Amino acid sequence: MKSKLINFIRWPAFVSLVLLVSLLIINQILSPGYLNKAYITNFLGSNGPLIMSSIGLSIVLISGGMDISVDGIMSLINVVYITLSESGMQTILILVICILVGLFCGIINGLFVGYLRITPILTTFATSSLFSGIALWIMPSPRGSVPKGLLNWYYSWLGGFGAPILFLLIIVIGWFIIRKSKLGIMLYAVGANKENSYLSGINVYRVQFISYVLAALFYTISAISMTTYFSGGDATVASALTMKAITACVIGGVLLSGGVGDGIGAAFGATSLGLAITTVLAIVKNAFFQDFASGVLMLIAVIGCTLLNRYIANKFSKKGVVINAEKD
Amino acid sequence: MLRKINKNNEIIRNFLPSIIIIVLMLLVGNILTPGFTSANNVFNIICKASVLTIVCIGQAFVMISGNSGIDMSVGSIMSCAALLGPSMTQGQNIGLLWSLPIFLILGFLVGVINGLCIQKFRLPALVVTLCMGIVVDGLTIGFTHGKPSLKIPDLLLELGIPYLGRMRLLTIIVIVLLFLMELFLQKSKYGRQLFLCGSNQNVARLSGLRVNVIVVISYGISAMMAALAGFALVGYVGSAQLFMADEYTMLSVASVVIGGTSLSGGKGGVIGGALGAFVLFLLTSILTVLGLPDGARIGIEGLVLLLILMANSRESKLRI
Repeated sequence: MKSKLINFIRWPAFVSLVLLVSLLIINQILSPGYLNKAYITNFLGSNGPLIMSSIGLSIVLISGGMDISVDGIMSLINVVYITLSESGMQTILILVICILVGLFCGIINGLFVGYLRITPILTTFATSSLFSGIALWIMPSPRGSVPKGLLNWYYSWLGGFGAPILFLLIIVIGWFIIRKSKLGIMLYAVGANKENSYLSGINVYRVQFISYVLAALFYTISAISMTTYFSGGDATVASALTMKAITACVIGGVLLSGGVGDGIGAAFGATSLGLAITTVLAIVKNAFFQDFASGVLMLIAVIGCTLLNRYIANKFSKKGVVINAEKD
Repeated sequence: MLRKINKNNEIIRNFLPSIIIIVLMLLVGNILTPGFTSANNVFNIICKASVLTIVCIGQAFVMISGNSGIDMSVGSIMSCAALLGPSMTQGQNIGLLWSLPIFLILGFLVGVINGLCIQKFRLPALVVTLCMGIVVDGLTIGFTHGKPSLKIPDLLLELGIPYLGRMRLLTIIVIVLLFLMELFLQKSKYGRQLFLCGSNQNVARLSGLRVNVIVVISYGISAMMAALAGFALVGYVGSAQLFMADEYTMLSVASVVIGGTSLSGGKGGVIGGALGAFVLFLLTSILTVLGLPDGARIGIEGLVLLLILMANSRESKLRI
């Protein structure tokens, strides 16, 4: 029993779960009864994309990479989706094409980082500019709409809670499958130490490649959810998402140096970021300083969660082995 | 003598790719649109690149400091200085006398907070500076209420006007600054210590260097340079808006890397960043004169950047 508890505490996502629960309680105190059906539907609609793309990003981060093309890929999918639905194509066909485009983006990222060995952050900066450029080319100004039938289905699913829950479920199940598979173990191994994994016979380049493709698939699903929620096309719709997703991953206990973390933690981190905005709106009444307050809160959350995670990892590590420390 | 030649070789090896790219781009530009290499156009591009060069100086200091150092808050600090700095002067030249130093010091302090979080708490630089950027952006919105600033001192506006022949005043100032900072980085005691910290922090610590102080100062310099670049940008553009310098963050990282400074630290210099900045703005300029739509231009920029990186900065193979 005790060892189970310690295992739970040592779970990288534990600290972000604590943060999530405490934010829920704080919000309940500040504005009692806020957690109604309308709030949940709205919250999942607007923050769902961030939660889902954070889980996707965590795959890349765990394998020791970095991806700042999240917003580029999501904008491209958004624009493709709307352009196709304007032309009156069948919904299933649209979704298939969107997923193919997302896979293509992931393949480009993976090819350049994995097989051509260019520094991840710079590669994904360049590809981000490539993807968002194509998106802006296809749709220079915001327009378009989503088919009525799809919109009705989206809002009425599960007794009015909305389809984001379905998308979220797909993503979470996908994450668990990846985590439990052989590939998942390889992702962690490559992230922890590339050279050692190479020497143990793992095809490091292929694992890196696959991590970017899988992440792009996750972003695609989250972009489809986002587009249906906004029901419109805009090439700059996801512009702030990358930075928020990275922050969410760090809050969720994913180490940027790779090898440690859990996608569920990233999801908790992203949810906390969304809840923190509700908290800030309740405390800071001056509209012009709300951005500043949420920035400060984010910084404090990052510092606090990282330090706590490291403290726990050192305190409860097996046989004194330091698991969760930054590599020097 | 021999050592000197070796050292020169290394400098040539670092700068050669970007110089070749610059020459190629000038040639391509001239073929696509005759008159592209006229003195006026080239010096205009150099003037645009000068603003980015100031940011690159700071970014180079941070990258050299190692430990995957990167400063993602420079764009926000630039926007903040560009918006708030000139509006503090009420459009009077004399106001610059105190508004510029105040913003340089404020910038330095922001950088010091960045550095302290990174060194003391051992947090990843990327995330700390990202969050700091959001904080600084929030402050800018809070103080300006999102209004653009139009009262700009005449002295700042002079920066973009041709001065010496076709050379802009800003370019001359930046070249002087560039050489001073390169000298500071390569010859001063602090600069040498920074290189050692970048190559191996543990060795630097064991040699009795105050690693934390040295690295924190490098972040301070980066943020200070970003504040200075904000003033230069508003002088060149002529007006300031919210988030006007956001893209400078990643542009500065890219140009410093194109200029031969590695992201892993301990290597590089300041002048490479200037060459990289020139490459990036040359590319933008060529694509702009072709008359492509905005989206296509941004897309092709990304593609070319990818090719440049492929030629310039690949990591070593795992198999030895």
